[in-house]
Amino acid sequence: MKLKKLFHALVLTGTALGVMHCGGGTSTTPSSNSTGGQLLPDGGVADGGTQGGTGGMPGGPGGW
Amino acid sequence: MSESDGPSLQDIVAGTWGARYRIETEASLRFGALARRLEAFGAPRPLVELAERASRDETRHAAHCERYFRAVGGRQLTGVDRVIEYAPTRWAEPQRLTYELVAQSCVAETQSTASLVTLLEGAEGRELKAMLHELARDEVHHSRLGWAYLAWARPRVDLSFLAPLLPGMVAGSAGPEIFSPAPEAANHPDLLRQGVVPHGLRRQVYVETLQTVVFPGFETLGVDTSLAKHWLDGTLATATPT
Repeated sequence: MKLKKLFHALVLTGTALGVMHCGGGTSTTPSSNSTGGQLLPDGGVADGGTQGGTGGMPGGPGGW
Repeated sequence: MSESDGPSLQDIVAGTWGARYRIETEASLRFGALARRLEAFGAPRPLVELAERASRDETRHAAHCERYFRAVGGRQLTGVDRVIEYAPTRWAEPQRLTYELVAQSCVAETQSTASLVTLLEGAEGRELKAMLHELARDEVHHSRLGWAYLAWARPRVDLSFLAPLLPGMVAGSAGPEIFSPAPEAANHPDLLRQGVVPHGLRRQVYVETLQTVVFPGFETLGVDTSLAKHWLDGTLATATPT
């Protein structure tokens, strides 16, 4: 099993990327009118908290 | 239960690839929405681009899953055509965005990467191996997005709200069936050759990935995992042996 290598490949490499950009962003002030995932082809947003996702339970999406 | 009472091997293989098609179509829409939300939140351009790329990747992955689903005799396929949001809409955007990215990338995509790494060792056939390799390569980037976001967000968002939510989040990623009894065919070793992780191994990979990647990752970023570990211990204590 190669799972221990994943900690380095995913967490440490990802964290380093985030830290590298810690001082900056595309803007300094978060948009106040960000309304989430509403800009969709069909305009629909399902609330996983009530409908559930493909993982079978509310709380988070499923994986492989 | 005898093997004839439960689903056949082909049913399980087709059903798994059909479920993956749903997972990938859902992920494509979610990453597309997350890219726009990251940009609106002022996240660095490389993170926005990672989410945009992930959305495109997942569309391609869904096509691969559909092709394999058809190849193994699957018939009825349903995708996800709306963004599914797991965080309550009453939350403020920083918490909602953080929850969605953590659930999608740090948990689900990390677990998917681990499953794909496992499958790469057992899959049979050049085409299937090439597809799994392509997907594994992409999922690495999808997972990194979450960890990169948390590192960037840490000085901007109080991440302590995540700790009590982690049990529900990781349980949602697993789905209830992973700790439940499985039909005999779900543990057949031939499943690996067809790109499906047998039930018992899937649980093992899921648990080990939480313990060696996901929980240490959260701790690295200052998110308390004691409640999530307590949930995992309790769940394993009452789970059906595989």
